[in-house]
Amino acid sequence: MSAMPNKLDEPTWSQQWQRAWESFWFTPADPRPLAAVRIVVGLTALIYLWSFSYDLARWFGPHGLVPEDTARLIARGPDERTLYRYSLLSLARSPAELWVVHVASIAAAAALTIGLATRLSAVLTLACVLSYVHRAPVIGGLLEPVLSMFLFYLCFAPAGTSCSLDKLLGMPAWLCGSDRPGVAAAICLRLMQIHLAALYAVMGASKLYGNAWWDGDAIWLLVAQTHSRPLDLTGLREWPYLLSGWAHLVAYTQLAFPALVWSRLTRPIMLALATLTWLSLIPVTGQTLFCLFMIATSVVYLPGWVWRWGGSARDAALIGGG
Amino acid sequence: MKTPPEPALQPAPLSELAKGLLSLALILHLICVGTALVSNFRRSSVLEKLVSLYAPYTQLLNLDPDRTPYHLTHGDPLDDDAVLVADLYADSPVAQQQPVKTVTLPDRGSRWLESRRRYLSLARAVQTHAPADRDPDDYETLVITTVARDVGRRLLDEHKARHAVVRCVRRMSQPRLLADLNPGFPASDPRAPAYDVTVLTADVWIDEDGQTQVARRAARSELAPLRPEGAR
Repeated sequence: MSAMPNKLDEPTWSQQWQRAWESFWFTPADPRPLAAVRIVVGLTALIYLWSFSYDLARWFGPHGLVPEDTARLIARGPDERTLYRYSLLSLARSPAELWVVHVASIAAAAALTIGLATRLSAVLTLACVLSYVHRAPVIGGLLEPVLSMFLFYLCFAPAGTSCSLDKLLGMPAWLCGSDRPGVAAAICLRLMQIHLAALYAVMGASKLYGNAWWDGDAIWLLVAQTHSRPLDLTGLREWPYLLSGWAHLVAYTQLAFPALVWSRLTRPIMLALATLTWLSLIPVTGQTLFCLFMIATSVVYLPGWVWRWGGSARDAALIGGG
Repeated sequence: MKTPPEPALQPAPLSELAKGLLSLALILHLICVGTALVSNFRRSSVLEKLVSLYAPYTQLLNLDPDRTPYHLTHGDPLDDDAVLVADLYADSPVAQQQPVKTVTLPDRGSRWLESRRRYLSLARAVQTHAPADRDPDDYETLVITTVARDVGRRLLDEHKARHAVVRCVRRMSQPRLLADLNPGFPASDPRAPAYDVTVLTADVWIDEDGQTQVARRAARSELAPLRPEGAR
């Protein structure tokens, strides 16, 4: 397995696979993109947690809108599924205790954003975000699964090596990771890239069911939602080609993204199209944070030259697929 | 300032054992995540079993989107917006009274932000579980009456009222071509009451013992704003 093949011998199919696998996963990568991901994810987690502040007691307090028993009843479903949902918010028995957990959660997300004790703050932020997600899954949206995924990978990533307090304070490597290209950075970036591409595939594939996205009516159907749309764009009813083209662009971009984002040739086009479609969905869905997060997390696909701001030879390192 | 060049990247200093173990962990992780993702929209019995098997990992870490509506809309009635509305009364019975206040959730938050969307998600969950003519003892009825009870109780506490009539109101979408509108649906106002369908009405009150009681009212069928294909 580890023996080098003779030059005269053609590598076998399994050897080619093994090499490709090792090259894909275990080629050391520059950790700086992970610092960018950390800032994006930390900031999004911060905004997500902050957005509960005004309604904290209303949702989760005594006699809240979704008591824990009700949340579990809905999450279990008619088949009474076993739940593996645990929440720090369940420990709070009063509004004051609820606020203690809430402030601690916001502090953890802020620490992650600024890169303070990065690995620890990533784990704490993940635990806090999951606490809100698991406390009432019924009020969850599109953002939570993507945010949780990135937070999970950041727990293992050397994401505190750039643009962080850890670097300024000279924190030990076990807390913020090594700033040299490494396998941990490569694996975390690859996992983020694959998982994000798979999510695009899910988003695209789910649009194939039903007629709305095929017929090009989907954007109109979103525009016509009077409660959730932030902008009244009903004037677009006179522009059926625009509405249909818009719907097709969204669906086809999400379908093509998982396949074409891996090629250097098509990656810039896919990233540009993804950015355009997410921006276009904000005024018709009101999913501002989710759409902006999807745009910002595209940094995991940026090629190596984008990160060459130090001028060292190391900067030419592969950034995942870079 | 230019830093001294560093040697080109070398293959990772990992032993074969470490690579093997890492590869195994990666494959297992990708299988779990992949299964959860491909079954987000619909689940066969096989996928349901597999997702349940991986749930201690994927559900715990929220790696399973679990039917998150990434399709945004399919144009189904259940994709329409819904809100929860509560008419609050000073006391029971409500037949001879005018409501003290009517609260529509969401009653706060920007249309651009998450906080408002959560109310719409809760109302949509009620709408999803509220088909007409269900057995009063089934799971769906239990869910919607429980949510109505909790929402009613919260609003009663907030507004110091004694009785609430909680409704889940779906707003039907206006078709793009106004010629397709059924009579009675104003073309100029897509927020007109004609577009609203009440999918749940429940009375919520606090009894003498301080306990919250809930009783669902019978549902009624509604006319859609879009004419059926054959009628156009």
